[in-house]
Amino acid sequence: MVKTKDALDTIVRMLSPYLGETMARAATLAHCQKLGIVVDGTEIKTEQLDALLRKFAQGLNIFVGREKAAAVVGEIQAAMAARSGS
Amino acid sequence: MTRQTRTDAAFVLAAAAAVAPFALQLTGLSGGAVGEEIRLYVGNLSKLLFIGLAALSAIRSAARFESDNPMRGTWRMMAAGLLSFTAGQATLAVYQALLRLPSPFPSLADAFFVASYPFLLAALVGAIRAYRETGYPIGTARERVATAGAMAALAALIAYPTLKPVVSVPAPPLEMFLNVAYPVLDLAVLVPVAVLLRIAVRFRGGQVWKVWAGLLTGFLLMCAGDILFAPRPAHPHHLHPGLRRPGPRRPWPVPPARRLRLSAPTANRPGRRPSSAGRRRASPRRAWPAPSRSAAKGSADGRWCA
Repeated sequence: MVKTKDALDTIVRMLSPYLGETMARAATLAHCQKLGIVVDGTEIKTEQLDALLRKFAQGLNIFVGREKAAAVVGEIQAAMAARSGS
Repeated sequence: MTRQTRTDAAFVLAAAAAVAPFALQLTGLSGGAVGEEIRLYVGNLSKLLFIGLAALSAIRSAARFESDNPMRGTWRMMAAGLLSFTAGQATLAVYQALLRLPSPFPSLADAFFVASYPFLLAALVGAIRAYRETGYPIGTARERVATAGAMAALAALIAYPTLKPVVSVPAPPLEMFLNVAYPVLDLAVLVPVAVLLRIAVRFRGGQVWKVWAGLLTGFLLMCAGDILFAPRPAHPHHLHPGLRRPGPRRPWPVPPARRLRLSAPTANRPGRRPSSAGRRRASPRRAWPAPSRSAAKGSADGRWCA
């Protein structure tokens, strides 16, 4: 499990170059609400995180194509793994 | 400096270089006959280059999306519209820069220009539909309808004074159709452009915003140019002061037979926008001055709050 704030901050940071920080943050909040993720909760479950990233990937497909969207999601996962490992 | 920054800088410089001869003319530094020549070639070739590049970029963008991605069709439509536009501009460039003749009106270029609009409109509407499917907070349907409605109302306000004098002047059916169709189609394009701008502004700071801001600004400028330089009534007093300026406007030779096809001096001014420049050739009955004399919401501070 990962700290919710860390996970969401990482997602926003990684998506900001594409979506802009405002949209990245707003989209994260919107998706969290839809998925029932408590944004000010302590920890986010792995399955919740996967579902969140899938949501983002679906949207990113439209902007950058499936391949690039998968690459961006992969980068987010790698960044989270690095953060939780450090 | 990143590759992206260098590309952006190159585009800005190229755009500035293309606009400079016309901006200098507006400030009174026309440069005489040499300036006219420069504007003729810079105007024609830069438009052809930029529209052609936009068409190629749209083709490349379409190719990068999977077949089931709605943006693929959108970019294909955009490419088709821009290619048609490029063909129209190429036709004008042949007349103006190669043959050094004012292009006739109507001409083959008009067929390409008119044909481009349905594709461009379909592309813009397709992009709105596709972005709705992202699931990102791009605004409500009601907001989009309100934006479209406001833009349509503004377009109607612009269309009335623009088109009233146009339809009041007798002209052959095809010329009349084109003179009305261009401003109407431009204004129609502005409706999805306004909706997309409203969506795109929520992505400010990101690549999505950058792409759409550039593209949509191009559409806005295109439409503004067309509407501002829409055909005016025949009476010289109704012309924009800049159009009444006496003196030869055309540095390239015009055969006597061609002179009968000439229209307002601006229409044949070298370097005018292709879509409006080339196509706004009024027939002699419109009595333009003779050419020889007239010449998302989110916490900004990074806190997480719903």
